[in-house]
Amino acid sequence: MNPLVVAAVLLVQVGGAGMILQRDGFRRVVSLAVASSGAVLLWTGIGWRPGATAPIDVAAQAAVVDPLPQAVTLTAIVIGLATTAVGLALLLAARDE
Amino acid sequence: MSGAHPAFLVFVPALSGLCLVGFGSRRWGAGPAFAAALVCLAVLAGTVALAAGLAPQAGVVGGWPEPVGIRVELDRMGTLVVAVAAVVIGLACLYAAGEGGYDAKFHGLMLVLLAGAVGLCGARDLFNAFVWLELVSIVACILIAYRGGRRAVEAAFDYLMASGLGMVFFLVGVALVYRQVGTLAMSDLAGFTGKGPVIRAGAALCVAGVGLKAALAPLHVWLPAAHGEAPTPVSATLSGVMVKASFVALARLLGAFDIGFLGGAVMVLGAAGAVGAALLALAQSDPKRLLAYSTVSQMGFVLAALGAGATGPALAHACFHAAFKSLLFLCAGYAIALSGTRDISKMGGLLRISPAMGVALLVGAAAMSGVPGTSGFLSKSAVAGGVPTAVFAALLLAAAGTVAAMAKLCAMLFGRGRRAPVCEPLTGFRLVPLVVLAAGCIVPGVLPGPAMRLFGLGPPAGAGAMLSALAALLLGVATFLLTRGAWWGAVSRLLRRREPALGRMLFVIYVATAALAAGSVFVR
Repeated sequence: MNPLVVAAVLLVQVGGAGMILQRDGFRRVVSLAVASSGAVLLWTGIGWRPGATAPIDVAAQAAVVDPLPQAVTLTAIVIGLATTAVGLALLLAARDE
Repeated sequence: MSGAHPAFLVFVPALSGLCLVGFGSRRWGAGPAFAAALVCLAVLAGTVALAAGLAPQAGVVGGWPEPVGIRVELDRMGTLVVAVAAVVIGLACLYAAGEGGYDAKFHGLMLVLLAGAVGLCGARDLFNAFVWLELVSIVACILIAYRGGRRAVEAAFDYLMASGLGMVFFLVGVALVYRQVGTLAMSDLAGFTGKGPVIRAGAALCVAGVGLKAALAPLHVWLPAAHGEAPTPVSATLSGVMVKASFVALARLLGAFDIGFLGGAVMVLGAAGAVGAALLALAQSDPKRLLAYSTVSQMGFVLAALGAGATGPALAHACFHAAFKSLLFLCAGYAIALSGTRDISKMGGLLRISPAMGVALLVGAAAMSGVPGTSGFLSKSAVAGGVPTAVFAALLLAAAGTVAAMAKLCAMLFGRGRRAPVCEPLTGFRLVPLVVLAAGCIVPGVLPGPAMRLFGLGPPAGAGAMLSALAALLLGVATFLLTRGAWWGAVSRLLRRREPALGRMLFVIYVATAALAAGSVFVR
């Protein structure tokens, strides 16, 4: 078993537990960030191959990691950033009401 | 047309929406609303062109041939839901212009929401679906909190958290599937045989993540607050567009994975949600909350039919529900403005004060109750014909509960009630959406032929369907009369107080089970 994957699943579970058990809004946002970084780590672990390099500007025969998980990872990071930003903005708006 | 491509239906609303968000000015008055309505009209025209075969249904985006490029395909289901979404969003923008107080950014965001819904309906791989699902929910959150107000902002935040959790589910589920299958394209998934426990767990997580957005009980807990507290045009859009686009994604997922137990689970959870949410709708005192619970209930009908494999009836009920629920939300929002209270027991006599709104509300309530001669009768009897007997019995109960809740809603039209000192009369921009949506409820009921061909429904409903509709109506009216007493007031206060905790508990149990299952798959 890939230790990266085990760590990722644990992160998702810790973050998910925090999201549904915490009452404080800020802690819930942080829990969501933890859970989604767990998902990102999981995807990274899936694409990883021993000794392979990034699939950028390499010779045709070079061993490269699977590029698709990297695309998913990048997208998930960007979307996670947007979600965190909107969540914090909503918290501020709720505080100011 | 050689240059036509289904992705234009995404680009046009997305770009024009972003222009409105970026450059929109407060001095433009109702201009942005008109512009948004025109763009929606253009998207509607595009779907008509697709349906008529004037433009290709499928295309590839990204400048690469198919396995690498992103496939976009709007089949009949996608095209119909996109058409409904365009109509509902255009009308909601017009209504917002009539209500006043919405600026260009609001209309721009509505167009971005439309673009997201189109993209979701056209998505043919899990990655693409993930991006559109996230886009749609983030935009929806901003729209829910748009007018401010503590309760609306908190509802938006809760929704953002729930959908974020759902999307983490989805990402983990897709990861499980991808590790086994090595592809994300739904068409390849459908052809993949030998689905082991890892794929089953991954598929279950994906379905749970999307089901959360399509109001699959018990993952619906965020919905009543979000739909009930949102500004009125946004409430109409949420139940008319967002839930429906998620339904399309769920239907695609179930079709791609083609795993029996998932369909069965969706069917059972849908039927349970239909009954439970109908009861909770009857217990609400706020008209918009009542309608929000009834959205969960009606989506229960849709999901039960989908899980049972009756995709045509499910699609028909989803589209018809978009029309009558948007109509009812717009009417309820106006009724709240008219009476200056959100307590249904203090509202009354509204038919006399605003006959147009009253008639529209009656039409919407009749369609929702499945009165023969309306769109709701057509789709509900089609759903009834497509599900097993036990589910049918549950749905009959849910239909009766719906009738009772609608009777409770319509009671505010009659009798005496107080009236707000200031409220603009219902004219112009606010009247047009009501008329169009009411026509959308009546026309398919009176002329069922074209609608049945469009949705691929079976032969017209016979005496049995009429009988069950009558039974639901009678049972519902009896329930309404029974629940007028003081005892029901006490019971509904109790239900309203206990329901959030109960829903939360179910939600936690569900999520914990999913997390443990996913964990055990990895650790094996």
